[in-house]
Parts: sequence; structure tokens; C-alpha cells
Amino acid sequence: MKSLFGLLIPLCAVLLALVMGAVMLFTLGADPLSGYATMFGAAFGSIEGFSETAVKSIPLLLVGVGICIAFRANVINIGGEGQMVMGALLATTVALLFPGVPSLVLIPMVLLAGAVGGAFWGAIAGALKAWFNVSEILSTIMLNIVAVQFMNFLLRGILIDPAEVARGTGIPQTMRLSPNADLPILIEGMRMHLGVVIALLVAVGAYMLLWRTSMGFRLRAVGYNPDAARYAGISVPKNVTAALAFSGAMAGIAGAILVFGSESHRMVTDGGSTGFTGSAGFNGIVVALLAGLHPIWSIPSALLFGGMLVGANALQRVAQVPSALIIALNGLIVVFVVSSEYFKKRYMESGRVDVESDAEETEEVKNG
Amino acid sequence: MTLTNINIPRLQLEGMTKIYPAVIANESIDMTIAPGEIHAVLGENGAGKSTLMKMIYGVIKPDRGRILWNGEPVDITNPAHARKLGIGMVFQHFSLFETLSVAENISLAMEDYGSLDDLSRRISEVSEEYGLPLDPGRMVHSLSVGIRQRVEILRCLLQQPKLLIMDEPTSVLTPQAVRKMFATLRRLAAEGCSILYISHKLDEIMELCHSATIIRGGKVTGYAVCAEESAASLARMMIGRELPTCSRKRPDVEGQECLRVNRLCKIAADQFGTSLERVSFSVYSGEIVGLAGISGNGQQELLYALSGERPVADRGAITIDGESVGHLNAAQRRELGLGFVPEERLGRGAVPGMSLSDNGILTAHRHGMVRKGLLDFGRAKRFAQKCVTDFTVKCGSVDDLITSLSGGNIQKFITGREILQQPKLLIVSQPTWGVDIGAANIIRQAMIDLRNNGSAVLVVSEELDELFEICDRLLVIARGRVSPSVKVEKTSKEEIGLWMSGMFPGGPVDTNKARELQSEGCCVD
Repeated sequence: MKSLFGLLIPLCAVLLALVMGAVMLFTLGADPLSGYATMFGAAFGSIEGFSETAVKSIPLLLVGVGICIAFRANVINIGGEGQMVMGALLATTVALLFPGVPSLVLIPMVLLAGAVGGAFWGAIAGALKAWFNVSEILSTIMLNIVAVQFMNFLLRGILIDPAEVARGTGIPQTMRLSPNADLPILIEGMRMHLGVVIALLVAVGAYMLLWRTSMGFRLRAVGYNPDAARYAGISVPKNVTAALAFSGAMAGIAGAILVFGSESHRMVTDGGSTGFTGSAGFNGIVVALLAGLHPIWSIPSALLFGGMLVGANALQRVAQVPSALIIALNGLIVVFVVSSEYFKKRYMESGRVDVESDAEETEEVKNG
Repeated sequence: MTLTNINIPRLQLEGMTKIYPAVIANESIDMTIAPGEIHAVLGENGAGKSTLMKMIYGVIKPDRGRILWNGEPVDITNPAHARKLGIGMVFQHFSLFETLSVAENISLAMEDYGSLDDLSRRISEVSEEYGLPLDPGRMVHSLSVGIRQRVEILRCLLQQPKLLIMDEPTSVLTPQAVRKMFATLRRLAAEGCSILYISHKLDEIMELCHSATIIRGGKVTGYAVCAEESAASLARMMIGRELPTCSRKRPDVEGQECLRVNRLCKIAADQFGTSLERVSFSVYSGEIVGLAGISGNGQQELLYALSGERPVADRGAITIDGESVGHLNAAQRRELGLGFVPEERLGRGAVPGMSLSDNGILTAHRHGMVRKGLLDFGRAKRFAQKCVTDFTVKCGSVDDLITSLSGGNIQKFITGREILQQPKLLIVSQPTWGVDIGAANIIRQAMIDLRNNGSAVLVVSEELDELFEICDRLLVIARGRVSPSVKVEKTSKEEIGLWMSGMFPGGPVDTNKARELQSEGCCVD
């Protein structure tokens, strides 16, 4: 009963956001119903569409799963963008250094490098919070900027494609990376690649980590209540750092998959982070929130947002509606999901069975 | 006592009923309190006492039933309304804002108190008058549990109530201070104030109260005139059977020194804390040592140091089985056989957002609940279930959130969790605070059994009755110093009460000063 209700609330939030979006579509002069039909048809209506959606969902899911872990430990990670970039850079470097290694070894190597790069970047913010009490919200945002500049520096410098230098065009991108590192296509003629499977495995792995291992137990205990954790002998600083490292690792894998699953098989920068990440480092937070910070529920959540990205283009083509509408729709979903937490809490409390608990009553006494 | 001659009762309850989704908390409860009557409400944890009191105080709304106040039916809508009628309540759990001072907290519940300075002066006056010394300017977060309760009591007294509801008010006072408070209450009653007194200490009820209503499972199961009953007969009415007794029998073997504290010094973490000054004592295997003292005298600091939550620089200052552990954290000390029950149940002894079974894993994971980094939920559940069964924890299932339990049941669960791990050294703070007598006896017996199996037990408590019942030796802490130990047979509550005011060999207070302080019932500040 309770879990059904927990499922119903985010669904209602999404529906309400879609209704609001329909009003917006209407005021823009488009037919809302056919607009949505176009959108979701493009995203989920065909194998090709679904393949696109799945590919777009990969970074969203990976970052979202990482956010689940961080938020469960009560650490706010706004640094997904930077962690994706750092993961991608390290993975790219490994691919450049060992081009001849066979696929079976090279692909795990580059993914691992991505994880390590992202984890390192997350752990910096984690350690700053754990030992120097630096707000992780500020440090992760700022590390995003550092990571982007580092990417620009490397891609214009030592990692740049020698051909670009020779031609004098100087586009900041690497050479075509070793084909051995290409993520294999799953269905012939479509873009869906191995990254989809990896993202799903990571989501399941994160679930196992959080709820089946003692490590996850420690992370959650620290997140729920640091005093109780300290009482039990769980190190709060270590676990805060670990939470951000895990979160960063997932984002780093996402970054690596963006490089090795791309059409060009290069790492390219346009000077900012969005050009590379597509803002997945931020949108992953939305994915996790809609999923109730649950790694498994993040899968449909990521598919929804990935689908909206794919559908947005179709919507723009067919209904002549600006694709920015999708950004507004994303925002609406966040607003509704976050505010629905209030109803969820109220429901939970009304179902409480304690007789002698004084917590809420005490509040009332204070107010009275 | 001619209470029956007074025609109009101060308070009359008729058919009070409160139904929650899962339980009937109160079922048709009738009760009558005359002006100037001190009336006890007796019942085990979860019997529905607090629910009933909260209905009287307007915190929760009854589903059925009628309240007559001075003969007039009233519908008490909220606590402010209750206060306006002249009902004051001292809660078992505190309703104070930690970031405000004592005077500011009290001002929140008062109307026209003049300036904060005036109020502070009145607080000082009334607190002196009733023997509950208190500094109105102190911030609440820096106060110990005992002093916080004092604030709550004073807050009510300042409003000159016609009916005072007291929920276990004496658990944190010295015997001298309890006597003083009883004198206060008797005076209040003589002035015509009625008192509803909730307590699990039967001898106190026998001493103080005129009559008692006994509640079991949400229903009134008896009414007693205290003068006609004995503590044992009241207990029988309350728990519905004979009171289980503890067997104190102690094996005669001399144990090894298990815990040794050697000149432990610790500067308090915050400005209102108590610094520890050269604290030295030992606890041997096979004995229970009690540490008495009014809260706020360094117990918190000492327990943080002993548990490993705040390790100390001098690693040799604390040894367990001869091994220096001062620098080790809580987990490392647990590996050496330490078990610890803190004073704060939720948010330290247990994680509020987790289930009973997860809260079992919290400290008991060493006992086969983790294999190769994976949690074994079957074992965790069985362990939690054993805790629930052995310590009569009232709960739905071990998968329920720990926050769905009442305070006393959480305490039983946490204490059970630590005891079931069979620690070599168990440190317990306030083991039975707010726990009903039936369960308190189970907890005490479990500690005694643990001792008989050769463990060392250190009990930090403010309840002398309890310490005298279960301990072999006693220590007293006052202002960050610990007294020499004394065998229970060779001392008295009076002597320990004196020591609690700091007057012991090497204590912080010289003899004259101690007498002075003790007459104020105080040794804080």
C-alpha cells in the first residue's frame, strides 16, 4: 500500500507537469495532444526512436545513480559536469596511450579510467567537506569550472590531434581514438551501443551497494544521522568522501561512454561543459529526484528525460514549437516532484502507529 | 484527608477515548481530581498515560468523551487554551528551543511577562523558592537533560497553575532535591493546586500521592487510595501480574581489571560543557560499578571519551584489558569487546530513518551479519527479533521504522542490542530512564546476568534507587571529578547524595561550601 502510494505521487507530479506543458503548447498555438503524440512517438514509438532515447538516457542514468548514492549519504553533488569531464579526459588519455590493446581489455580499461577520473574529482570535494567543512555545493560547482578549463587546456595542448596542428586549423579535439575502444553497437544500423548495458549494470550495482553491502549501510547511516554513525564507530569524514567519490565515479563512466560511444570517436570541446555533456551532470539530479533517490527507479526516470530530449527535436520539427519548451517541462517536473515530497511525508505521518511518541505534539506545544 | 467532601471536582474526565489507526490508545477513561489532590496516574510504557495527559492539555483531540473543568464542560483546543484555564504540564520529552536561553524559552509560553530582565529575576526567585536553582541566561543547548527538565518545571510553576501535570519529574534529581520538590508539590497542593503525577517509582507515589488511577492497555484497571495500598499491590495492578524481581546473587570470584581510566583530563568541547579533571577509576570483570551524579557534571564528556566517539590524545588514559585505547575510535573499541548504551536513544543510539533490524546491524554487525562485505538480512532479522522478544519490546515487526516505537521501547531495544552481544565491558547511561518497571527489571536482570557471566559493567545513572539495587561499587562524579569508589554495603543514599554535591575526598567542594550548596539542592555551576 505504502509503496504503491510512493509510486503514485511522482507519477502524478509528472502528469501535472505534462498538463502544464499542454497549456504552454496551447498558448504557443500548437495542438497539445498531437504535440505530445509527436514527442513521445518519436522517443518511444519505434525501435529507432527508442534506440536514440536509450543512448540519450545513458549519461542521465549514470549521473542520476551517482546522485542517489551521494544524496543518500546526505551529500549534495552538483559537480556531475566536472566529474564527467575529468572521467572522459582520463579515459581518453588511456586510450591514446594504449591504442593497441585488444577491445576486450581496452574497453574495461577506459571505463575504469573514467570511473577513476570522476571519483578523484568527486573525492576532492568530499575531502574538503569531510575535514575542512567546506560546503560541497560550492566546491562541486567550482570544480566544474576548473574541470572545463583543464579540458580546454589539454585538448588545445598535449591531447590535440596532430593533424589539426599540421593543417593549422587547430580545432580543440583529439585524434580518432583507437577503434579497439569503440563501444560495440548492439543492433545493426542503430546507435544503441554497449553503454546502455553498462549503465543498467551500474544502476543495479549501485542498488546492491546501497542496500546489500555493509559499505552502503555505512553510507546511509552517515546520511541519516552522523551522531549515530559516530556512536557505532562509522567514520563520518571517510564516508562523506567515499559518497562523493562513488558519485563522481558514476559520472566519470558517463563521460567515458560519451567519448567512446560517440559518432566521431573523439573527445571534442566547444569551450564549455554543456557542449560535451549535454548538461547531463545537472539533469541527472532531476532524474534521481524523480526516482526518489532509488537507483532502480532511476532507469525509467532516465528514459523519460532521455525520451523528452529526443522528442523535443521532433516536436520542434513538426509543431514548430521551440525545443526550449522541453527545458521548461523538465523544470516543471522538478517543481512538482519536489513539492510532492510534502504530501508523501504527510501521508507517512498519518500512517504512524505510535501511541506515546511526542515529537509532533511537542512541536505543537511550542507553537501553541 | 477530606477530599471527598469537596463537591465540585477540579477536573473530571468522562469516557475519554482516542483511537489511532493501529491501536486504541485510550478507551472510555473516567477520572476525577479534586482541588488540592495529588493524583497519580500509573501504567506501563504504551499504556496510554501520555495520550490521556495530552488530551487534557489540548495537544491532541479526543475522539469521544468529555472534560469537565471546575464542573463546566470544556473543549480544550490547544495548549495555550489549557494554560489559560490554569493547566500546566511538564513533559517527559522536552519542548525547548535549543538555540534560545532559559528565560527566552520560558517567555515563549508566557503572556505579559514584562521585560526579559523582569522575567529572569522572577525565574531566579521562583527557582530559589522551589529549590530548583537555575541560571536564566544560559542557552538551552548547553544544558544537560536534568537541567532542561528543571526549566520545564519552572515554566509551569511561573504560571501559578490550578492543575499541574507532571510526567516523571524526579528521575533526574538527587534524593535531597526530590524531597525538596515533594515539599514544593505538597505546598502547591495545600494552596489548592491539583497535581496529576505520572511516575513509575512506586515508593514516590506512595509517599506523595493521595490517590491513583491505574491504566493498562488504554483502559482503567483500578483506582486506589494510596494510604490503603502497598507498593507491591500497586505494581500488581499496573502490570497485571506479580512484579518480577531481580536476583542480585553475585559470584565470589575476583575478576581482572577490565576498564581502567588513568588521570583522564579533557577540556570540554563547548563553553558550557564540563571539563574532566584527572579522572581515575577501574571496573573489574564480574562487577557492576555505578557512577552517580546530577547530569551536567561531566558524564557526557566522560562517556564520549570512554565510548571512543571523541578519542583522547593520551592513549594510556583509558585501557581495556590492559590495552591502551584512548586514541581508538568507537569501532576499534567495540572490537575489543566494548558495548555502549548512550543517554540519547534516537539520533545516537539508533538511526531514526532505519528499521529495527537495520538498527541492530548498526553495532551488532560483527556477529556474523556481514559476510564478504554483504549484509546477511536473515541473521540481522533474527537478532532484532531476539532483542524484541527477550526485552519485551512492543513493536509491529522488526522491519518497522525505529521511530514508530515509544521512547521506552527504543531504550529496551538499544539496551538489548548491546547486552545480547555479550560485551566484555558494557557501559550504560541511564539504562531505565522512562522505562516501565516491568521492563526496567528485565534490563537490570540482564545487566546482572552479564556480570555473573564475567563481564564488567559501568552504569551511569541519576537514579540512586537503581544504582543501589544493582551495583557492587559506587562512584560519584561532580564537576568533572570522580570520587573514590565505595562498596554499596558501606554507604548510604544520604552519603552519596552529599558526594553528588561535590563533597568527597578530593572532590571539588570543601565541606562548608558543600553543605551550603546541598541545602540549595544544587551542585551545578
